[in-house]
Amino acid sequence: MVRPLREYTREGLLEIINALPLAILVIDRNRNILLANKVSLEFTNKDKEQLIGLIAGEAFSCINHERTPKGCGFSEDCSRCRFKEALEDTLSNRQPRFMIETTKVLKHKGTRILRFSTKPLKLAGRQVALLSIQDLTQERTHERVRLEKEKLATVLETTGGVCHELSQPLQVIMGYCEILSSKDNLDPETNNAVAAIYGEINKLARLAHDLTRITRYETKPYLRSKIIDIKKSTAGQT
Amino acid sequence: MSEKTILVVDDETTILNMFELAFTKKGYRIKTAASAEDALDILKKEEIHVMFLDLNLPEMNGIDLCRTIKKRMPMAILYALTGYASLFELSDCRDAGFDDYFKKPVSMADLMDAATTAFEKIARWKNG
Repeated sequence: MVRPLREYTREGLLEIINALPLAILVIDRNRNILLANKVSLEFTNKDKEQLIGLIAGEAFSCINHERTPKGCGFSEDCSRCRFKEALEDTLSNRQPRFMIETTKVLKHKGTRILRFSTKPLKLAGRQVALLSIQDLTQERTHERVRLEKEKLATVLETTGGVCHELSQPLQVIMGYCEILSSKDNLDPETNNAVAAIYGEINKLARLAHDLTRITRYETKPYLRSKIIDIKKSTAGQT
Repeated sequence: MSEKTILVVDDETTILNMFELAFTKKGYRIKTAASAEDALDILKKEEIHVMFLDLNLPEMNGIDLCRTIKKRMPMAILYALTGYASLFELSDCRDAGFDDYFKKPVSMADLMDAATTAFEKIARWKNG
């Protein structure tokens, strides 16, 4: 059973949506903007007179709107547009959609991560959709940066511990190699063996040194997983 | 060269043994300590001007030990040894009065050079 839609007047609905902190637009069956709250004017970078009457893609400055002469809804990418799909479902089938996340490339803002919801309602006798949009781009960027910092801090603590633990045995082996190689009576075979050990210890010492110079978190594929790329993570350091 | 005594402080016995062997072979007299407290006990009994201190010591760390020694013996030459130190810790080393630092593993030849330089410096001060 389909529940009857709640009906609003333009003034009543505008008063409600203007009080909310999300970009909220009221859209008709042709996906044209009928009402827009204050936050949506900021989000679309348009004033009220410019915005009302535009089709959604043009209102948001979606790059796909300009890709075809017919505009929003007709480019190849529009068939995958989650806004279009959700609005059509809400307007045709009265189905609300809740907290859908999608990525859009907008002409004036670049790539944005958006979360939106739709709800069917009646506005002055017409069936319309209420579209609310939250721009998550900045939040997600901060979250990514915070995660990267946390990862780097963990890497630095781990490498610090590894370097400390490695340094003691490496120091002992390196020192004894030098003591042995300073002996005059070493046979050539032993001398070569000591030199080889010393060479390898130097390689490990360089690796330990590189580990102490990690300044960022870069990974590289390793079999089926990922490992830290020490060269990239220390690149640009002197 | 018997007057040239070096104090090495590290909590790992294997490191102390290796340092003792390497420096003794080069003609230095070596005193070793496994903790800051042991090192300060040795310094109460005899005057030693060249020291290698590991930073990561139990109880009092190498930076605090350096600070304590420098207060009593400002002319002493102290080298820090560390397996891992961030830029902040290296800055602390400088503030504490270390003359230089070496990241482990370090070539014993480099430490011998440092010891030679330190004793030359002390000789210049002593002889005016």
